[in-house]
Amino acid sequence: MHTFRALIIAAITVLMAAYAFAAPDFPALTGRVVDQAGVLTPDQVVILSNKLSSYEQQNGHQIAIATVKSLEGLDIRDYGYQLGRVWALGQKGKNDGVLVLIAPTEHKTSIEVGYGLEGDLTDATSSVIIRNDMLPKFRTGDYAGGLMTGTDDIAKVIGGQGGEIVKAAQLQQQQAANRNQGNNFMAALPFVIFFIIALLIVFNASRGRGMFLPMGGGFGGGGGFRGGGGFGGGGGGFSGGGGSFGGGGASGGW
Amino acid sequence: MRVLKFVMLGLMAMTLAGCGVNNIPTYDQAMKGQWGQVQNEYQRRADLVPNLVETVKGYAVQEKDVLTAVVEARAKATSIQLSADIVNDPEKFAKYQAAQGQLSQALGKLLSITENYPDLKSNQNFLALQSQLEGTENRIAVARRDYIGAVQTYNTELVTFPGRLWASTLYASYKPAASFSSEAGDEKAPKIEFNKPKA
Repeated sequence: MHTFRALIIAAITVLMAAYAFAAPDFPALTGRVVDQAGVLTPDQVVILSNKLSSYEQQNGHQIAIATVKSLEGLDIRDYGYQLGRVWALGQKGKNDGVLVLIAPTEHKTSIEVGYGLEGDLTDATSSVIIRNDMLPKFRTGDYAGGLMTGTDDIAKVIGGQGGEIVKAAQLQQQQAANRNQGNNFMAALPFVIFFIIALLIVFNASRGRGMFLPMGGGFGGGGGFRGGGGFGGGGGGFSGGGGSFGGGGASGGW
Repeated sequence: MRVLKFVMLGLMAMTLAGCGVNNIPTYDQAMKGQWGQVQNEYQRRADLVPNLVETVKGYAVQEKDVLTAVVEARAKATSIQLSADIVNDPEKFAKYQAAQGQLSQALGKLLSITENYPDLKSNQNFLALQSQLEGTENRIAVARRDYIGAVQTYNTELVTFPGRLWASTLYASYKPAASFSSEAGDEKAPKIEFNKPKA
């Protein structure tokens, strides 16, 4: 009787657990690039797929891209590692898969790194890639462009060239700092002019004469981005190699 | 005759294996493996803290209280001696969870005040540490969930048929394992509230 009761309790617990951990409705792994959200053109999908396929031939690491319509209320990292496990990216035993996930609806992106690559593609490096390569382009709606440079850098890092990317980020920061210094001077300029004018007015008034002072100002800006396009051949079947994910990587939003 | 006996014995062993005689030790090992992963990730977080505190100190030395709270919470969390049987000791387990939860909260507070220091926020070293901390928190969440799942399998096996039979005979020393509770919400790293830029 005891056993029976315990059995029922256990069954209920398991059912509840199954409910609590109900997995979202993940998109099927139809290729290296799964564009469920429909933000890429067919050409771009082919180009990206070919790129990812050549990376795998070079170093054996599987990289896949997924765009999803909805994260179904989950945090992107939470969704990401589960999708990585469901797709089983990376070789079994090596767990060397990388998943680049984009949720255009939620304006979130993440790089999920398999256990085996966490030492190379660290959280910090993943974060740098998201911040520098991907987010600026995603902000302008250029998903393909961001994915091109992003996956290029991911491939560089897991191919052993991670130091260059971090160095580039530092250089960029330095340049930004220099720009800011220039901006500081520009920001101070109106006050300097105002001060001079005020001095002139006081000076003129003290001499009992009026004077008309013209005021002027101006600003300028510029920017631009480019999209990609082209052609490519067909792709073969693609499936995960049995790798697993444990929450390595980084995420960002725009 | 003797050969037949061996064959019979072999057959019996196979049927027993089919009855899940090995399940309890197998699930126990899986559960302990996942527990090791949880500990690893918490350790990784503890290792990040000194660097993070030093970096923040350089920019926000006046936030002494927050920094001290982090250092103290880390000291407390790492002072708990971990042994393999902590999973079977609910009291010790709860203590461990509480200490780690305190560190989560202290770190959450630390990250939220950094919003007030734009220079710190654009420091590459800090950004790297921050992303590592975020990644580690994420790994902790994953490891905890995997552990909860493993405990569930193991504990269920202990109380269900036929595991219950084996537990009461062969494996009397195997006790149910403690799991994480999220009821108090203490373990969850607090969401970072981004301060609105002052106009």
